[in-house]
Amino acid sequence: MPSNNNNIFNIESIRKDFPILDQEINGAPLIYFDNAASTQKPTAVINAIKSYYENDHSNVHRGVHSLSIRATELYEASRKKVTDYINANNSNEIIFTKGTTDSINLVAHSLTNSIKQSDEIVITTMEHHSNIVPWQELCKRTGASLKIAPIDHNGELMIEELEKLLCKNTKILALTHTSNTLGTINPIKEIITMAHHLNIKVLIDGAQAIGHQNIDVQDLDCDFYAFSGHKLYGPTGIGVLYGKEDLLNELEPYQFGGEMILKVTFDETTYNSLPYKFEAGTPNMAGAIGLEKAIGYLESVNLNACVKQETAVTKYALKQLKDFSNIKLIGNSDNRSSIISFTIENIHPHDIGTILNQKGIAMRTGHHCTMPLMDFYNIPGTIRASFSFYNTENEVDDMVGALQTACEMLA
Amino acid sequence: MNIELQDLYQKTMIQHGNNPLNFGKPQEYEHTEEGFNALCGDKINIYFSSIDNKEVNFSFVSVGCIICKASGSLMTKELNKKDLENIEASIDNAMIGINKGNLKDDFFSNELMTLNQIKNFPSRLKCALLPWETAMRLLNNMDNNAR
Repeated sequence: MPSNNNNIFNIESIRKDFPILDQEINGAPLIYFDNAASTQKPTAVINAIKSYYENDHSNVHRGVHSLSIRATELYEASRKKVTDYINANNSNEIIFTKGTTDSINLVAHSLTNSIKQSDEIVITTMEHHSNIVPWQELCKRTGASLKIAPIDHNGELMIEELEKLLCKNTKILALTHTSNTLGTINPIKEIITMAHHLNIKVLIDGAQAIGHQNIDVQDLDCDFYAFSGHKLYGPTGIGVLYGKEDLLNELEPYQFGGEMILKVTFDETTYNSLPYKFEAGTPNMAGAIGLEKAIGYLESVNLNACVKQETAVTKYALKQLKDFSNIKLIGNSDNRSSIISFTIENIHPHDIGTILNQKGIAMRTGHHCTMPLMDFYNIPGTIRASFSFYNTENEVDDMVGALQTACEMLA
Repeated sequence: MNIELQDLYQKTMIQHGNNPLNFGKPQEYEHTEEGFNALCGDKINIYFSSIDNKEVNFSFVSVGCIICKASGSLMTKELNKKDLENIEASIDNAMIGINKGNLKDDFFSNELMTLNQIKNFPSRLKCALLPWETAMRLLNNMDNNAR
């Protein structure tokens, strides 16, 4: 039976804030356990986007008319909100992007002319493709080498092995804060300190950490931190690259066009200052405004209470799954987030995914854009449950029931 | 239990998926082709040989779901009865039939009708089609090499 963890905060009231949850899929109430792929949006976010387009829309930073001024104020208010939320030093350190992938690509591209053939870039076995491929491509462009820090079978980074890989040739260490497949939370503060002793810059892929724990970029002392709005209960198409101001000033622009320039002649162009140097073209204003509301919503419901709810549901699910003799957890770190990956003996994840969907349960099955990690475990994919604070232990019970049905059906 | 789900995972599908026919890499073969589903990571290797360009023999190895393996099993059982000259047309017809859910038992064996259920699960169509698409590519590559 579920324990009474739901009294941490008013879960029924919270769930009403997310209109999408109130529906049936294939005749059963929707159970949304795919939050690592994308979180759902509270009414406050949906309404803010609607209101922006109905009342305030125009292009930003360009006009003297009232609408343009209003849109600019809303857009920049979002940048200030993000600045405070992750405790950046100032708003120049917050670059709006399309999402985590775009943020990482920005850094990898902008570094091209400052990386040489003898340099090394270090990533880890547990990275999402979006924190692998941009670095592979940077290595192709520059002749630099890509080094991979290993993990153990519990799904934890082997810190001593990582330390051995870091050397005077290492220019960038790029690693995930929380693994999107394993749920492992890496000890990034300790790792960043280790890298900084060798003057190595550190980029953190924060896609799965943001919204699930407090992030303080100054306390972490990371050089870059990338995340997406849509995994933070905000809209798709908006993301953030945090970078230390002096490093962003040194980086070359990523894309070129309007907004990122100060002066253009046919002979020469002078680039704009931060943060606009990295925001070529008309930005995603509605996305930024939605993100501002999403952060506001999280603050209003209290992130710490949300994390407690997620942790309770995750612990309950882990306990239930361990009762299945044919289920193997992929990722067993004690320091984990609300992501659980598992395989079921002799049953392919996709068949499980289809049966869960017929019971109204949305869960991701497959390689989760971590193919090298699947190779490490020698599996084609996993079944992944990823929880948010609007999920309940009763929903976990339904998932367990559906898994039992699937096992009986497919054996 | 949902009726559509029961229809999908009916006895034939489970039997062929869990104990596929013509499964395994043969010691000798003339051609092989690998198929890969980038979205889900499923993989299939198809092996082909023939006697005097007539009696064809397909076998396969797959790291895939029940639907992919059952489709590969049913496909090889179906094709291994046919002459080489009829194979490409059979694969074409089967792929159209799987997509539309209207495979006909006057052209194919009754067992293959199991695959008609996949159309109710659009996200699984690629699983069922992977063996057929890979076999077709194998034949096309054979033709190209012959030329």
